[in-house]
Amino acid sequence: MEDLVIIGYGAAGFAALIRANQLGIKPVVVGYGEIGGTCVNVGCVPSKRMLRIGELYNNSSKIVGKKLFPEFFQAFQDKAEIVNSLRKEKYEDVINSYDVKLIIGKAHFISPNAIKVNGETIEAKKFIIATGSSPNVPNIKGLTEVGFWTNVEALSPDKTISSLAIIGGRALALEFAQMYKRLGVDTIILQRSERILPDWEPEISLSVKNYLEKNDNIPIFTNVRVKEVRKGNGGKIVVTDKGEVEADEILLATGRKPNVEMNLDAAGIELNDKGGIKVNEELRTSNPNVYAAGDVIGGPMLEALAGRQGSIAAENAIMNVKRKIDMSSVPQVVFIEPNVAKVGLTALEAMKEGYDIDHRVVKMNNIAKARILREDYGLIKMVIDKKFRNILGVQMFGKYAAEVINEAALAVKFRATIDDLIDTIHVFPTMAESLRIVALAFTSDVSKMSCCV
Amino acid sequence: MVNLRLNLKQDELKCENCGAKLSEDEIYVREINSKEHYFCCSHCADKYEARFKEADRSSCC
Repeated sequence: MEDLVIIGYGAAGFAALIRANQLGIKPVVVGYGEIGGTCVNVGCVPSKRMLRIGELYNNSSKIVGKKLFPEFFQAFQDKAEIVNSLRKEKYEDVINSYDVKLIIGKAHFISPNAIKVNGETIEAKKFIIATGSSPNVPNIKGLTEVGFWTNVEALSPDKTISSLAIIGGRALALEFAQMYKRLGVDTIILQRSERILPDWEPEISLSVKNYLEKNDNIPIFTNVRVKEVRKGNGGKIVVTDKGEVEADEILLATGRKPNVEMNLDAAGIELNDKGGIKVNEELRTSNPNVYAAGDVIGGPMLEALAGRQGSIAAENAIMNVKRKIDMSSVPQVVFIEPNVAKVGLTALEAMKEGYDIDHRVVKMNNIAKARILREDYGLIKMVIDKKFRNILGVQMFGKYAAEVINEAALAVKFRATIDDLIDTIHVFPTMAESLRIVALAFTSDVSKMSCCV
Repeated sequence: MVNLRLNLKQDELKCENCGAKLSEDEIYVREINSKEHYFCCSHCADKYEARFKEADRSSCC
């Protein structure tokens, strides 16, 4: 009998196998598809490289005063080089440097303590499921017949296009809309909810919408129900309750679903209401010897969180130390340019949790560094507990927000107050000063302040 | 390849009490009966919620 079987070799699976080795356990790792999972192959790494290429050309366009676009396939080739090198260095070479038994194949449970893979039965004392997620494909009339892209095809297109209709209005939709727009492709966003980024602060949603419409010239339609997809006159037509749009291609950005097809019933493993594997705070499933980590549990699908969950699941599985992750300080970013970033609770979420809150919003044109960069679009919003003045949540739309939010995550994690932020000297001029300035806004009018106060 | 062809009606977010167009400078969200509602300010939200509760009371009697 094996000590530990890890199913999946993406972010969570790798973190689990590394931690297992550090704890003196040689795990069996079972995986299929490209090693490294979604993030390095068809997620964060390629999409952020494509966005970076677009950012460079957009900046160059501003300098020369005319629109410049990269050569379509050359841009994707550049992306492929980054993906291939990172996959080799961070996954293929890494797994070779650890003591694991790697099996390539698709596993399914045959009992509470055994899986079958490639016809071989493997029994183990403990299991960690880290099988990730896949694009969710909604049931839309005509969609299968007409065809569509997901993030996978959109990151490795087999044809050039001049127009792209994107169904969805969350992180993936916004990132691909800007990415393709800056490749010279006209894009449009069709969002079912009343606003894009519906789980974010409403000020952020509207600020981002205005920016993308005015600065990137991306039309955004909200409160739209897609009724049907059909072939058009050379393109594909999306029929909605608000009218029609025709484009070369359709991109589905309608969320992701956990990969749970592995006969979980045989192991007594239950699912949650999001279709993911049900776990407690220690990442233990309804089978006490099976843990789950990463996208497969159906929570926030974030690379860094998946990695941390993989490590924690390994520690809990091997040592039964009952470790938990502080979910209140998990930051999230939409990597459009400028970035959109958040950590902690929105004002509405905080009120629903029973907090008596206060909040402030400061526009980026109050931040000296944003003015110096001539990138002063956007805003920062901070939510605090009125009684104790500790920071409950921060959301920011602005230059380098993805970097700034890490400080906000520390502030939320360690229950820092606005006074802690004000008392901490921040480098002038930096975008991170926006955190201190929004903290100052609770007691002062920041529009009537000198640069350093 | 086809250029983007649009024939869509734009749906703007408006205050559900007074009908004012909402912007990043003037937006307030409140959950009423498990659904998010959008307003220009908390006063409009109060008025809407009061009307909502009144309608709810009269419909049950």
